[in-house]
Amino acid sequence: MKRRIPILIVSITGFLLTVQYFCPHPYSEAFYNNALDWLVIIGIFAMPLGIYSMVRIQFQKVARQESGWGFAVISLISLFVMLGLGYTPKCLEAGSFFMKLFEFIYIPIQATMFSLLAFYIASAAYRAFRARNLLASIVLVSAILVMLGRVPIGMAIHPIFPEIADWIMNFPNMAAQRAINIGLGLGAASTAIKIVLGVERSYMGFE
Amino acid sequence: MCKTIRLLLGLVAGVVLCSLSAVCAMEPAVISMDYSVTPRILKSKPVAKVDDVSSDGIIAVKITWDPLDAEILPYIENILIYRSAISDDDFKLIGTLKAESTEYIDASDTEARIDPAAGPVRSNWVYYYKIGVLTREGFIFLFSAEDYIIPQPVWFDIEKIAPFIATLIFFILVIGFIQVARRRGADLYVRPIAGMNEIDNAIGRATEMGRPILYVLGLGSPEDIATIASYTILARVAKKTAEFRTDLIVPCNEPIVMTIAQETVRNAYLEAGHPDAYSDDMVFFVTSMQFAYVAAVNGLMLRERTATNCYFGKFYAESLLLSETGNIAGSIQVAGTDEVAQLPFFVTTCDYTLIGEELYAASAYLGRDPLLLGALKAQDYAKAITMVLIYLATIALSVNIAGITIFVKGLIDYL
Amino acid sequence: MMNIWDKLLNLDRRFIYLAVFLAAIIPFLFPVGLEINPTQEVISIYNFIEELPEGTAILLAADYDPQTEAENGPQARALLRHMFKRNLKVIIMTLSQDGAALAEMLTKSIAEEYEKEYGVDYTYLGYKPYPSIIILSIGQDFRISYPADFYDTKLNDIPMMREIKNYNDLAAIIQIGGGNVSNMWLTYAQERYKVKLALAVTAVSGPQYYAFLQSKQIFGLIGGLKGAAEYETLLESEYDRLHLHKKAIQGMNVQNFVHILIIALTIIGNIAFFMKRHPKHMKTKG
Repeated sequence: MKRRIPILIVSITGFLLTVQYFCPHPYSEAFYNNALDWLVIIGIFAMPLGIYSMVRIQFQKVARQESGWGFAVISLISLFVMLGLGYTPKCLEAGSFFMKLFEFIYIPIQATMFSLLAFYIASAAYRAFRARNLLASIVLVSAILVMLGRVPIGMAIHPIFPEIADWIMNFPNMAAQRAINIGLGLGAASTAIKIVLGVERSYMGFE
Repeated sequence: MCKTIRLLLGLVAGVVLCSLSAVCAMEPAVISMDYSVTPRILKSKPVAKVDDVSSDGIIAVKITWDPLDAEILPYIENILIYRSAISDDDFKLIGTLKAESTEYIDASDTEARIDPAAGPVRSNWVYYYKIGVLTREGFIFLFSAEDYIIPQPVWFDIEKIAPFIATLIFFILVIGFIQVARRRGADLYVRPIAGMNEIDNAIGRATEMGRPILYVLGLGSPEDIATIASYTILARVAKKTAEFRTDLIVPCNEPIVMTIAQETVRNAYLEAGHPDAYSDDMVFFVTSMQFAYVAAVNGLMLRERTATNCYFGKFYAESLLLSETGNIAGSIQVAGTDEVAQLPFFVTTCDYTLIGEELYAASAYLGRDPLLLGALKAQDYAKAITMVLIYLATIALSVNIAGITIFVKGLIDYL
Repeated sequence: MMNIWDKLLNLDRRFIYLAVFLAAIIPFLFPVGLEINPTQEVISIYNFIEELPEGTAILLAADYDPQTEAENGPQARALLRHMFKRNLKVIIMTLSQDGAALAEMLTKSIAEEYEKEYGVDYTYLGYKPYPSIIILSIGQDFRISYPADFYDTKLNDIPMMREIKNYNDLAAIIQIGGGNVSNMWLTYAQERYKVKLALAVTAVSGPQYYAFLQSKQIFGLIGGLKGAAEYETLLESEYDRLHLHKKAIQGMNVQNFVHILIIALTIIGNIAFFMKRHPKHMKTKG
């Protein structure tokens, strides 16, 4: 029973929403809007669960003095400080302490993490981009041509480079992307049907 | 006599002055009034039609009329739209439009109406419409629409016929193959997926080294197909780690995903016969921020020195940051995602990568459940049909046989 | 003993990091001006905005986070400047949790440049969670998910919003971000409600949207910093008029050198790989 009822709810809702997509009747639209409201409500209920899990794990780390427990202390302090400041009046106005923390600590930290990609891409490209066989060589040459064609220096060397880069992006790249996307689309539709039919149950934590 | 002359002169002077002041007050752009416009409007009486265009839960009537002659447009102030219900035969003003307008949609969701008594248009009521042409002098010429209309809510959106047929065919294929699979059992061939086979070896390696396994479900939301596929692989990994008594770490990015992952791992440990080995601390929420999550997971990898890292689900810019760190740490790495842009990063840094739908096929591949295998087969056939259609359309457009080309182009435009 | 090819093949990655750092910092300090030629996918967005009648409503979905600000920020600024220059009515919203404050800062600063009035020329709706649901609900009515704007003013009390109900009242949506949320705009707004959509995405996610460009599901695409630099080039006279800093164009100097460095590293790596695998072959040839 514990498993059947959720599957039944999923099947009925899934079937009704599939029908709703094709049916523009006011009743169908009202049902759909209602479903959207419920999704938001249920989604918000899950947030405290996540915060509870995070706080519990970090507290445990501190209590047991596990490796890296100092970071756990920083995480907890950051969480509560930002949470507290979020309740202060006018916290979202420019120049508030909350906004200063956001602008001068949070944004630079996030941007730094993203910028690590440049270093990692260079290192991964150096290590992995090898002309091991014909196919790998084609990938290698295409990558170099696209990289050259995508920056102004490619144009400065020869106007043909941007054209080659555009051709690679618009034809071979797109053909491969489309093939994968069609497969993904069918895969997604198949999974959706399996869920509606109750065949796929992994999303509920059991097979 | 003198009095009369003075009066006449005064009158003439008054007329001249009035005319002069009128001329002076007139701006050069003003078009002089032409009262002959009235018969011309009557002559070019616009023909108005009404259509039911109800869709998306909105009742709507579209009124269209012939455009007014360009030469009379400067004399027209506005076009007015009037509506009357059969139960209430006086016409109410529902809209004012520019003189050059040629259509108006009277929809049930339009809030601003000039005459509030008009109310929104409703389904199954009989409506008459009139169009008023308001001239700059303030005359209104009314013309009735050719017919009355009874708007009806639509039950099926005809514009979605193509996806409807495709869905129906696909649905039939899936159900059909599930039936075939039921009869033939698990006797349906699925091509071996190297990455999937490697998971077991990777778990074995972690056990030998006595180091934990890291499982990352990606940044997807719980309803993403990649995340759903990832739960299945997580169940398999958790079952193995339960059997081998290897530590499993599952840091999550989304609270609902975390809840489902906890349930998945708990059930896997139960099925493996080691429910006591499970703890909620194995599956935990870190943060929903993309790069803060990366920092936390990278820290875990380096501190815990994980032997095997599994990345299955939706990944974005963090894919390379995670897998390159794993590579630096010397872990065995297996990945799978449907995010095409991230595949090159995983391919370069991981030992095995599941590409796109290979990830979706995971549940069928691992479980060998006939029902899931059947659905996988249906997917293959649908793909074959799509390929055949693409090839046929390409050939039809390339050979340029007039009839076929026009038909295919029309079909493509329609779709 | 390790020969030079072995050493190159096993090069410590910290040397590569150092090289990237230098390739980024040197052109930043000593820029080399190179001509930027706008591509068709960027020009089509520019032309679309250029041809819209004044007062047309347009939605700018600034769904990016601080981490991609370096790429998405210049795109957003260039687009918003163009929209304000054309006197369009702009609705700005974000579906990124961290993007709310960023989008607000962006909106306020650019509106000040153009002396635009809040509620009349532009409206900032702020952030709402669960992007797919929000995108779907706007198809019905903005007011379902956004009964009020970011500053808690009811939408019906905002002059420009009184006339705007859903996607039908918008000329187009231009979404800035990339990744999951861009896909949702494609699936739920473009595909379901047939609204005109253009994307401004990070360079890494750019290639996957070319297919949608060709199938005309999006009418334009601004990819990464390069796309932003192209847009700045198209708006060059406007940037010069207002004496604005062309951040993306300057950033392209850095990108130039880093691309060249990666190409050079790849070639060096391959020479080492080839020499290691076929030492004799090279010897006989030489």
